[in-house]
Order: sequence, then structure tokens, then C-alpha cells
Amino acid sequence: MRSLFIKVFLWFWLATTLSGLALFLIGLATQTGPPAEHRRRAVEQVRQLAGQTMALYGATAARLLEQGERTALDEYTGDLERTSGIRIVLFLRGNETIFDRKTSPQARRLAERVAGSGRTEVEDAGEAVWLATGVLGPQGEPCVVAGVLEGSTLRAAVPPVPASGLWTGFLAEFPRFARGFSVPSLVSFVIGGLVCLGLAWHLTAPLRRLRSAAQRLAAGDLTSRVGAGPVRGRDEIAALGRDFDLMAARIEELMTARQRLLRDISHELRSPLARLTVALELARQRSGNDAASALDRIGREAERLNDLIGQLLTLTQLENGGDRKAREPVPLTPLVEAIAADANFEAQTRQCTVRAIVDDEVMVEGSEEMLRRGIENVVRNAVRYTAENTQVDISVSRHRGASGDSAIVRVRDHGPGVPEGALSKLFLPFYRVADARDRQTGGTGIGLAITERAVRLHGGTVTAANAPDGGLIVEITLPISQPAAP
Amino acid sequence: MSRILVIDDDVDLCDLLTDYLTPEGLEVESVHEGERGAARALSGDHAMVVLDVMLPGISGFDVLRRIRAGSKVPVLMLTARGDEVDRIVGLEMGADDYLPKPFNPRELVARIRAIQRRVEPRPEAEQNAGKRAEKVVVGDVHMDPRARVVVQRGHTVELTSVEFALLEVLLRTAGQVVTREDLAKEVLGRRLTPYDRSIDVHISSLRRKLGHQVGDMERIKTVRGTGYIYTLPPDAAGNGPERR
Repeated sequence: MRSLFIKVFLWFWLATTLSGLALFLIGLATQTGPPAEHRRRAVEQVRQLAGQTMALYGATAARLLEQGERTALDEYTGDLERTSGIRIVLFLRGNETIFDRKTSPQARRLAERVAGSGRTEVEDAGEAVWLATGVLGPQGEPCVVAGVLEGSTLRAAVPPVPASGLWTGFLAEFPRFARGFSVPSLVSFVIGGLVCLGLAWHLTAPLRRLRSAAQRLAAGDLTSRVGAGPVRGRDEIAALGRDFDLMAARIEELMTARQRLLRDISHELRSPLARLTVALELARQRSGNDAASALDRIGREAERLNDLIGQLLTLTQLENGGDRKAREPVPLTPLVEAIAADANFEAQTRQCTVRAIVDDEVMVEGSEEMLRRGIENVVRNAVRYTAENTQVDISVSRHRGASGDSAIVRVRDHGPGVPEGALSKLFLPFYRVADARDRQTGGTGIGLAITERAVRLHGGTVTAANAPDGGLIVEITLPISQPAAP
Repeated sequence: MSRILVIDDDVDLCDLLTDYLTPEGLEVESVHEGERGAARALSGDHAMVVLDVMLPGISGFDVLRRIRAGSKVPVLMLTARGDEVDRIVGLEMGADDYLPKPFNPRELVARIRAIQRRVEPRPEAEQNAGKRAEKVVVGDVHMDPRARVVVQRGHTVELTSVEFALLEVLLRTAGQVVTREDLAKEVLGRRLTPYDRSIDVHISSLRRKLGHQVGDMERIKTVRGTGYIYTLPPDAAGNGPERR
């Protein structure tokens, strides 16, 4: 696939998929494996130690309170804070608040949670860590003691992550983690894909429109424009579309002017010719026999001039691309038979015959009119040069080639042939192999050039070669029309 | 003397044609633009119209369309040489024949004579060939050459003079192949030039006007490379066209 759309789409999709994969790996590395496990265990350990410590402190504090030594308790908590950093802030016996150093909602909430769960609760509030645990009072009544550990004392107690053994743990954890991740990742893969599809489509749509407009222009539709609708905005592609439209408008203008000019020239040149031929006949009626040969000559020259104008117009039309709209299936075999029949009629004046040898039914695609002119010019040329009492053979055959079948029209005369060096120039306009003889036979020098243009417009080629036993062989190869590709 | 209307914007050419055609026994009236040309052609004063395709203002085809909307006067189109499309369009629109411009005036006279013969069969010719005047009935088509009418299932079919002549030849030889060359000689009064599609275009007009099918058979069959054959109805096969 070379389409820009596919490229853009696949790259975008790859990018989103890769970023998703990166997220997955980061998640995997932080949420699972030895580092995460290590941290979990360390926190649990700290929680137990802290719980035990708090329970111990709490029991002592409870006893001191029981003995009613309030000052001793204050001293004790003061010592405790200095030595271990833990400050006892709340003491509950049953539902009774015995001691509340610094009522804070955190301590109270934590204490209530302990009363519910009965185990040690730890809450990491960033700057400080709150601890609460349940203890038994001197009479065996349940009590809760809560304290705060300021600073990063507790966090410093968590040891750093060990560097070794990362991959074994990582890989061991992978299936479990991937299972949890598979649905979200699949969803993001599909949604990412859809979004990328839309994005790529959106980016390349103006280009596709531009391309189809260019194709239509190339196919001869001079009114083809990108238009303001599909390519909006001020981006580069929109600018390109506007420039394309300007270019197409200019081309259309030029082509129309050129066609009008050609038509006008044809008309303007032929009007005097029409008058001349009528005047010539009037002159013929009114003059004696003395002038007859000169008048005949004028008539012939006028006819030649007219032919030349016609052929020049044809050649110009073909170089303009001809009538490209005329794409119809053309049965080549009957066409060649008809050309042969007509040429045979003309050849009789030179005691020559034209034979068509066809055995294949061959269809080509294009303009019948153009193909007819192309083939006819070759046949006429052959009739003109073949020796008297000889024949011109035309054959149509099918040739199987690597790039599809082709039709070969071969025209062979029995004339003098053409010097090897001139063979390739035969199809140039006004090229003459031998001036004097050509004039005598009435050629305009454009016929084979028309053939070459016509055949080329149909995607074919035309070549000329000398036959080993004399005479010229012109071979026209045309691609055979295939069933239209979907 | 036949009056001929020439519609051509080339004033000098019209003058020359007048000079050339008058001694031939043809009276020429020239009009140099389409609007007035169409009006003159519809006046019914002329035996024939010679019409140039390239006219300033409204084109020759538009003039032809206007003429055909109200008249069956024979029309000879002058077309640009090599412009096959123009010819076919002209014939399809009901022109009787065409002549590529520039033309030899002798050829023009020959075409005019051929059209004249078709439209006004000379009395002596009719006497010589008595059957010419006989009515022809083939299948659902009834033709009365004398009255120049064709009736199909009770309805009159409007045909131009060339279509009428062509149908007459086909009906008289119904069931047999007529070559395009013979048709051209009989109907157009000339030999077909290479790639001349005049006969084919007129045949397709006939098919259109009479219907492509008669019963479940093709009315006018094409014999490839040769000519045409008008299909005989199955019950009359082998008996030739019925004459009354």
C-alpha cells in the first residue's frame, strides 16, 4: 500500500499503540514487582512496630492516669516526644475522652476507626504520620491511644528498593498485571485506531479530491475544478487546491481559444477554397479547350491544399488529445475489412489489390474515427508505393504479452521500401523519403504522423520495417480492451 | 425552372453559385443569415434548400430544426470536410444529403438532380416502370408512392423524401438483401464515398420512425459488410411483397 491515507493512519495508530504500551510498562514496573512488594512489606512492618510502641506507651500512660498523676503523664509524654518523636495527642477510655492534647480531626477519626477495627491504624498525612492503636486499661477496659509522628522519621525507616532481582519479579508479575490491563488496552487500541482512521481520512481527503480533479483534467475534462467546498481553510492543501483551480481555468481558456482559432482558420482557409472551386468550374465552362489542362492543374492543387488543411487539423486535434470522451469498444476486424475494401477500390486504378487477412475477432477501446484514420493512412501509403500488379496485405492478429493481450495490425506492401536510416523518421510530420516521387504520388507528408498520434493516444505503438524480400511492413500494436477494472 | 434556396453567409460564394447554377436551369435565391433563411425555407417557394452548417447567429442545425418542424422540403447540408459528426447530426435531424465544403459545383449539381429525381419522379419514368406507382404493403406498413404517404396501423408516418425513397426500395425488395452501394445509387443517386454513413443514418431514422421490431422480429436487419434486409412477415415469407 502506497496510499498516503494508509501511511498516515498506520503511523498514527502505531504512535498511540506505542504510547499505550509505554504506559502499561510504567504501570507494570511501579505497581508490581519487587519494588512495590518491598514497599508494601516495609509499610506493614513499620505499622506493626509503631502499633506495638504505641500500645506500650499507651499502657504506661493509662497506668499513670489511673494513679492520678497528671503531671507525671505530661512529663512522660514530653520525654517520649523528645526521645522517639512520637507525641501522644489523644487518649480515650471507652467513649470517654481522658486526654486530648491537641484535638485534631485526624486523630479523632483514626481513633474511631481503631475502636471499630481493633487493630493499629496508620495514616500518612505527608508532613506527619498519624498513629492510633487500641490498648487495655488497668481494669481491662478497652482504650485507644493516638499520636503523631512529625517529620519523616517513619519514612526514613523504609529501606531503599533493592536493585537486584527486578526482572524475575517483573516477569513473574506480568500475567497477573496483563490480565487486569487487557480489556482497557484492547479498548484503547480499538478507539485509538478509530480516531487515527478518522484523522488520517480527514488529512488526506482534500488530497484525494485534488487528485481526482487532476485526473479528470488529464482525461480531457477541462471544466474540472477542486472547488471551494471540499478544500476549505487556509492551510497549504487548500492553497494548493486554489492554485490548481487557477491553473485549470487558465488551461481551459487556452484550449478553448486554441480550438476556436483552429475552427476559424479551417473555416477561413476553406471559404476561399470553396469560392475558388466554383470559380474554377465557371472558368472551365467559359474557356476553350486550350485552358483545360491548366484549369485541371488548378483544381488538383486546390484539392491538395484542402487535403492538407484537413490533415493538419486532424493532426492538431490529435496532439490536443483528440476527442478523449470517445471511448467506445471498437471491433477492429470489421474496421480493417472496411478499410481494405475501400482501399482495394482505389488501388484498382493502379492494377493493385488490397487483401485483408483476419482470423481473430479483436476488440480495442477508443475512438473508431481516430483508429480508422490511423490505419487508413498506413494502407493508403502502402497502396501509393506498392508496385503495379502487386498486392497490399493487411492482417489483424492477437498477441499474448506479459502486460496483457494486444492487437497487431500489419500492413505490408510490395514497393521499394524505405532506407533503413529513414525508418524511424517515417512518422514525423512532413518527413519525406524522396521528395520528387512523393509529390508525384500526391502525399501530404502528414498521413503517417497522424497514424502515430492516433495510435499513441490509444496506448499503442507503430513501427516500420523493411521486409526481407522487399516492401515495407508497418505494424500497429494496440492494447486489447480488457473488462473494466473495478 | 426549379427554385433553390441557398443559405450561406459567404456572399461571394452565393454569387458564384448563382452564376454556375442558373445555366443549369436552377433559379437560386440566396439568404445570408439563419433566421431569415429558415423563414424563407418555410415559405414553400422552393423546391430545395442548400444549407451551410457554419452560419453566424443561429447555426445551420438550428435552421434545419426549424425547417423540419414545419416542412418536408429537401435539405442538402454543406458541412466542413472531415467533420463526420456534423454530417451524421445533420442527417439524423432530417437533412436529405450532405456535401463537404469545399465542393466541386458539378458534384453539387449532381446531388441536386438526385434529390429532384426522388421528389418529383418524371412522368415518363413512371410510365416506363408502371409498378413504380403501385402500392406496396409489407407487414404493418402500407406505402402509396403516388400519394407519397406511408401508413402504419392506421397512422400516417412522416418521412423525409430520402427516407421515403429508401423505404420504397427496401419494401419492394423485402426479404432480400440490398447492398449499401445499391441503396446509395437508387436513393441518393450517387456512389458511397469511403466511410460514408449516410445510408446507415437514414436506416436508423427509419427504424426509429417505424419501430425497431415487427412482431418479435427485427424490422430492418443489418447484414454486416453488405447491406440491409427488410424482414418479411412470416406468413408472407417466400411470396415477396404484396402488391395491390
